[in-house]
Amino acid sequence: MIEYTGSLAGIEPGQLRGFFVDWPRPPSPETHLRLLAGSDHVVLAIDSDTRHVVGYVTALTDGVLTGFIPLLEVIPAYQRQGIGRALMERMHERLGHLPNVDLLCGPDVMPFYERFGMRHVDGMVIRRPMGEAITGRQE
Amino acid sequence: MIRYADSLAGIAASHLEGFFVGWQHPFPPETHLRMLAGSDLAQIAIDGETGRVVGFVAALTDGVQGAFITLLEVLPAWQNQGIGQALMAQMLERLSHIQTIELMCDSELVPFYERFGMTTATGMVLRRREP
Repeated sequence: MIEYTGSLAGIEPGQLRGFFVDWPRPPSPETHLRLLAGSDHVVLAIDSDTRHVVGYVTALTDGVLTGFIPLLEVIPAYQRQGIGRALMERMHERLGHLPNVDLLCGPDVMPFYERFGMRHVDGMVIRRPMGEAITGRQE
Repeated sequence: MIRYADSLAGIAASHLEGFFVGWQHPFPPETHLRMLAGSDLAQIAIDGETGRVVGFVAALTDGVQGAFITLLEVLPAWQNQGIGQALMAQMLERLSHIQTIELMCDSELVPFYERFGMTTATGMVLRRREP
């Protein structure tokens, strides 16, 4: 059974293993928990048998205009079961009072987001390796 | 003289007239101030003579991994003086510990953001209220 929760209460780094698949320098579970705690909204999918977090989505918001969804991920072994869609539906509900909801994604997942009424736009990005960014400023 | 500030201290809604140029439904200054106050970071350009805000940039961040620049605007009469460039450079400096910084923009603004080392990307948006 998959349970969904909007709270990090009781979540430990040890429950957050196996994410950031294919990232060259994935954040540690401890850093992952810090970024979840630093987000304005999170929704977690938890396997009720193992208590492992198997999927999550985060959002940042100014509470007035914009909701931004930085990360949505489901662990490979739990994909294709509708967990990503359930996470996204719950997050869109939480952001339902905001005029704008934005995210960046590759063309391969655009059809997934189109189901939620989202449309394609162009954006810009700076991506730095996680380690460099976390250890401090580059002079 | 333009003065740059990293806080909203002393800024009232009346200092925020004239923004959201070209929007069908521009936010009133009071809503604009709430939006800035609700952002994790706001950097503002102030006309030193009048105290009026002439430009701003706002960002959201989880403080660790991700940041999103929601809005950057300079009042028309104050454009082409490098204010937008200064605001953006100051905001990126404040976000220098963050791994991923993202924004949405129209294609004509791509060269502006490329100057800061940003590269083009694709995204998806939901607009419940036309800007």
